[in-house]
Amino acid sequence: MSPQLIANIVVLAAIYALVSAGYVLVYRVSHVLNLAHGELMMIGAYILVATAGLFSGNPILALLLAAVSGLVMGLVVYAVLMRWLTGEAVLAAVLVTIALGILLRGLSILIWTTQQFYPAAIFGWRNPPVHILPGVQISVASLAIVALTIIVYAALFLFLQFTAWGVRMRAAGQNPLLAEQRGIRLHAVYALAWGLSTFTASLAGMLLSLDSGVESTMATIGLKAFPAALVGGLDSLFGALVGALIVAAAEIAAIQFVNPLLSDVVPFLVLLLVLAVRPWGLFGSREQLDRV
Amino acid sequence: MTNVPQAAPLLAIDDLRVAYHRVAVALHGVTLRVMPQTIVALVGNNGAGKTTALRAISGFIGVDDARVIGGSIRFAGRRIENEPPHANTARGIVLVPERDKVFPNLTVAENLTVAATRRASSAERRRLDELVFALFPALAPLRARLAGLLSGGERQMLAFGSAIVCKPELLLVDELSLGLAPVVVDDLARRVRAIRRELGITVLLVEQNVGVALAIADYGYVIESGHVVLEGPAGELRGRPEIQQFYLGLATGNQVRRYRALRERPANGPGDRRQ
Amino acid sequence: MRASAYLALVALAAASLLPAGSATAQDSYKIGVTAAMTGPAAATQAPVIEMLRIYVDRLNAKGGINGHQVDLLIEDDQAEPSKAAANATKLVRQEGVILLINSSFSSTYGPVIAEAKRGNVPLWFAGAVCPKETHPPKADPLLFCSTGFDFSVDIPVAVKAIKDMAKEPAKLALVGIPVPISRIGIDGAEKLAASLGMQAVDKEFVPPATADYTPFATKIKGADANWGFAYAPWPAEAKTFEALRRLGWTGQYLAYGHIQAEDELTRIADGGFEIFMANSLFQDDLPVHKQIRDAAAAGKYSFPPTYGTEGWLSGRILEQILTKTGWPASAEKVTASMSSLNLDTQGIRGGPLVWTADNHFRTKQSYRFYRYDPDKKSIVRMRDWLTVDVTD
Repeated sequence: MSPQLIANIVVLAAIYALVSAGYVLVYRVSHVLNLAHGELMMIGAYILVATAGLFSGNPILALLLAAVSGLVMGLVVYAVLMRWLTGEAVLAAVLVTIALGILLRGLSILIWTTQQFYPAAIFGWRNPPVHILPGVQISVASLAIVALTIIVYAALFLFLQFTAWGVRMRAAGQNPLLAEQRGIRLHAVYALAWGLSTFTASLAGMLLSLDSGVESTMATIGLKAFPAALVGGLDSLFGALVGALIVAAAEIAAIQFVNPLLSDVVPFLVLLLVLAVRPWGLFGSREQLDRV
Repeated sequence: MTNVPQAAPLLAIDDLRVAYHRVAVALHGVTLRVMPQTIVALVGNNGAGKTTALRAISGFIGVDDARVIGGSIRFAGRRIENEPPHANTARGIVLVPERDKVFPNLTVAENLTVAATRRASSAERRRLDELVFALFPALAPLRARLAGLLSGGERQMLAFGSAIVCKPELLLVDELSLGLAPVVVDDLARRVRAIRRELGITVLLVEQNVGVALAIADYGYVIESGHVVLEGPAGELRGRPEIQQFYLGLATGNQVRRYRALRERPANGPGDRRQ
Repeated sequence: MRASAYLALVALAAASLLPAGSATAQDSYKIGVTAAMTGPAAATQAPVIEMLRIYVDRLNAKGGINGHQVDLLIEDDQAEPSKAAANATKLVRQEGVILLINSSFSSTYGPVIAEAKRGNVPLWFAGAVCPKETHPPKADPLLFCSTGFDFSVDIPVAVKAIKDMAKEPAKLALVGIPVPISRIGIDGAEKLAASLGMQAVDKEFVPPATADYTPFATKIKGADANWGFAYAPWPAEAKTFEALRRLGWTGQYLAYGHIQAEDELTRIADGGFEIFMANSLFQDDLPVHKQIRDAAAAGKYSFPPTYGTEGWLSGRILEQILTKTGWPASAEKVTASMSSLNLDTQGIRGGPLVWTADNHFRTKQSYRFYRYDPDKKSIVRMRDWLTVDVTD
């Protein structure tokens, strides 16, 4: 395998991992599979288009504003929609996320049409290749995705492992009733999970749009990242990281050595294989699955 | 049936009725009082409604699909029916549940960290942690262990510990002794009395093991099929023949198993061999 | 209860976002459109139909055609055959349209053609792939196509052009997407290239909505290609090229210039990216381009004005068809009118658009070639109208 291929795998895995983090966060805390995640990611990218248009001379401000909007978006989705479904069947919540996805797709076309937008062009940024090793080049935006994925995962790990609210998020996922009885407001924890989930999704959408633009089909990328989250086990962030690497490696190997036509199918093939052997994913916990 | 005490009760429950799934009524008008800094035991058979009563005080969440449909619960004079558990915990009503009493995938230390204690500075949090390890020294060396790997007794201690970190005024304990060895139960019973004595925490204790309960408690209520059927100071209840017969295992031969059955028909009569 | 109520509310809100048929009038020309206004084909189709609507609105504002308003009923098919079939049924049977327009993926054609034939209503493909049945010399009596691109004509032109342009022996990489038209085109290009003595060193079918195009580009670069040819929707064409450049690839690249091409060439600003297309660019600065630009501004066109050329042309075709149809109108009269179309394209195309009884496509097709010139910092025309005969 050439170094360039390894670089390609790392970049694709970083994209999938950054998107998957949001699936895992929401699932782990509330056992809800958010099937509007890809759409929320796309909205995150469109928000960057909007803030870039407003503050084209101040990219840092535009990026910060878009990132904060990504966080707020999740809080709003929770407060307006998902909050009212706590205590209802998980299936009802999942169906609502599907409806939300349809709604967001419609809304995005109403607002931004089906045109391709390039926030990088609005900032006047080029996306030049960087030589990271002899014979290995990746774009600046791809490099940023890899760096950001590492930062996001490290930050999430530290947050969940060492802060009180992180511990509370883990606790609420394990036993929501006991969490409430220990004084934890479940709505606050769930809202936090949704906020962090759409925040990371927005970051992914923003960087993808800086790399290659955003248009109405970007939501599909969320669907392609889904196998990565599932392969690793939906309730494990580490699993999502490993799952993203496995799926990305399989996809790139299929493009390179078998047939590029397979690239769409391979993530789901890997998923089927893993689920056949370990239905709870590589790093998921078994009892979590039983509860669904 | 209630004897109205002189001082204001910390917890006053009147004619409490609870329904599950909107239809199944699990409590039919329970009335009880818990005076400040006492230990009150609520005893009765499995399925009598004891846990439901505790859960109604502590609060239900959506998945419970349960509601207080009648009567009142007053804590320090304020009505708290159908308040969410986290709000009651913030008021100072903290439950030690019967099952799933700790977070198994968190360490012992994290199980203490997790409590969202009202108005607690980090210094106070540290003091509370130390207090827990002072009350339950056996937990101290287990700080880094996953709670799922603890023994039954250690789990119960941790459950008490994480409840105490919530700074309770009223500690609700659902089954102190269930599944624990007698020596462990004795030890826990001493600590419950210590918690009351040293921290001034009031305790409402639900127990199937009436002997244990009445040994710890100052006052007791007997509940059956969702009704309070008997109450009195613990010492007095211990002396009651019915209690001795049906709950303390001192009876012999074929017995009715319920106090109410005893009241309704003569003991040892025909047709009493139920269930 | 609460959950289901919320679900219903959300579904209702979602449904209300879909365009609904406008009010019908008895004394108007009723034209039905089933088009990919949303979904995976919308990027290419929605700009065409929106400009067509703007054109029709302008006609109506000026009093309509022959004194009658044109009622354009636009239904979204999201590029799904089942939705297109339902749209066609509704438009033909309930609305009684006298002309059906389809602008979507070719996978929607089957059911729409069937419905048009059942209702004996002419069916016009505007801005979407032309089915073979419209081609001369034996065109289907009811099917018409005005779209600029058509793989059977485009591919030979492109491959021969690469052969001409290549200074050294061309090692060709072919780029498509995994849908029938693109695949047939790319496979055809591979055969033709071989017959012209060019080596096709790699062939990539890039799925739509790919997270990262680099893996495909890596393979093309690894195959040591010095020329790329893409025949696919614009995003796949352009993003593959950009990924190639980011890998440091220095070859040249030819792609079909879809409606986004003019804005995109400027954005990408790379001298090695050439496009060929049947429509002229705004760069050519003809009077018609100014008309389109003004109409886009006045009609609050959602897209850059350069996206509007194909839709504007469609509007002019519709205007001539209905003018010749007269009043009262019927599907038969519209079909007859369409079968004798002769439209001056005002420079949008390389010649007039002519439909006859046995030709519902065109007999001659012309192409212009453009690229971005980094020195002049603008798009330049590399080759004026190159006209080929459409003979199968």
